[in-house]
Amino acid sequence: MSGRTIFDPDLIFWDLKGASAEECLHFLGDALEQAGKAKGDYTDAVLKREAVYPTGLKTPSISIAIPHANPSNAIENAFAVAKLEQPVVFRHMADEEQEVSVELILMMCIAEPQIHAPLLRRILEVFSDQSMEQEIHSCRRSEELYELLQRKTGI
Amino acid sequence: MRQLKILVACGSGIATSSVAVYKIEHLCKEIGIDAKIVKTTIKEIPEKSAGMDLVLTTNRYQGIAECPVECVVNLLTGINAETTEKKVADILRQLAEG
Repeated sequence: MSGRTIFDPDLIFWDLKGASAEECLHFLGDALEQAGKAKGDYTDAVLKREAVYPTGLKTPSISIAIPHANPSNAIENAFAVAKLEQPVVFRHMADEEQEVSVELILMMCIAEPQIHAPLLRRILEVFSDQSMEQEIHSCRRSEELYELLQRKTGI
Repeated sequence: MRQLKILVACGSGIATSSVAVYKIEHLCKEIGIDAKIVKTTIKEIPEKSAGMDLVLTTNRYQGIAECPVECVVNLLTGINAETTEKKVADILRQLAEG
């Protein structure tokens, strides 16, 4: 990832107001499409995938969701991130009958299949550290979240 | 001890299963299990699980499989990861010795 971070300040949204998971997925997917990072079918692909294979996850810090589509729906590697003003309900990846109140959505738009897993692994490592809860909650603006994600993940 | 064939599956067969493969490779190395690990999608489990010793998934799977199935999402999130690691290690040891 050669010194350049995958995070983009323009694709990080602080205190996003979304009434439902679906609304938030639309918002982030559209943002990726408009930024030229994802193809026009990306948001639909994410929504379809989420319906069959949900991506809500409880971690030792906060509950997150990692919605994504296939590399064929992506143009450039990017993340669209939203810290939600109020948590929205996702279904749990391991058990779709279980609901997860998600505070932070990390939508992965990955064009190169081989980097999907290392990126995801790094993200999950960072959120499995309890101190991340405090770090996230001490942010006040999207710029601070951007700086935190970049510093913690190194991606 | 024989070599084990392990199938690792997630929704798309791209992201979370690759992370699970990484974790399982490390676990096998740590406990001295020789394993051949194959990645797939949840949808393909019925067909791909033929001839496998164990299927590990990141989603709950209630469909048909030709061998035992275990969900390993905890290895990804870190919640109860040690318990899951121990459970999977026990299963692997049993299979390898059996």
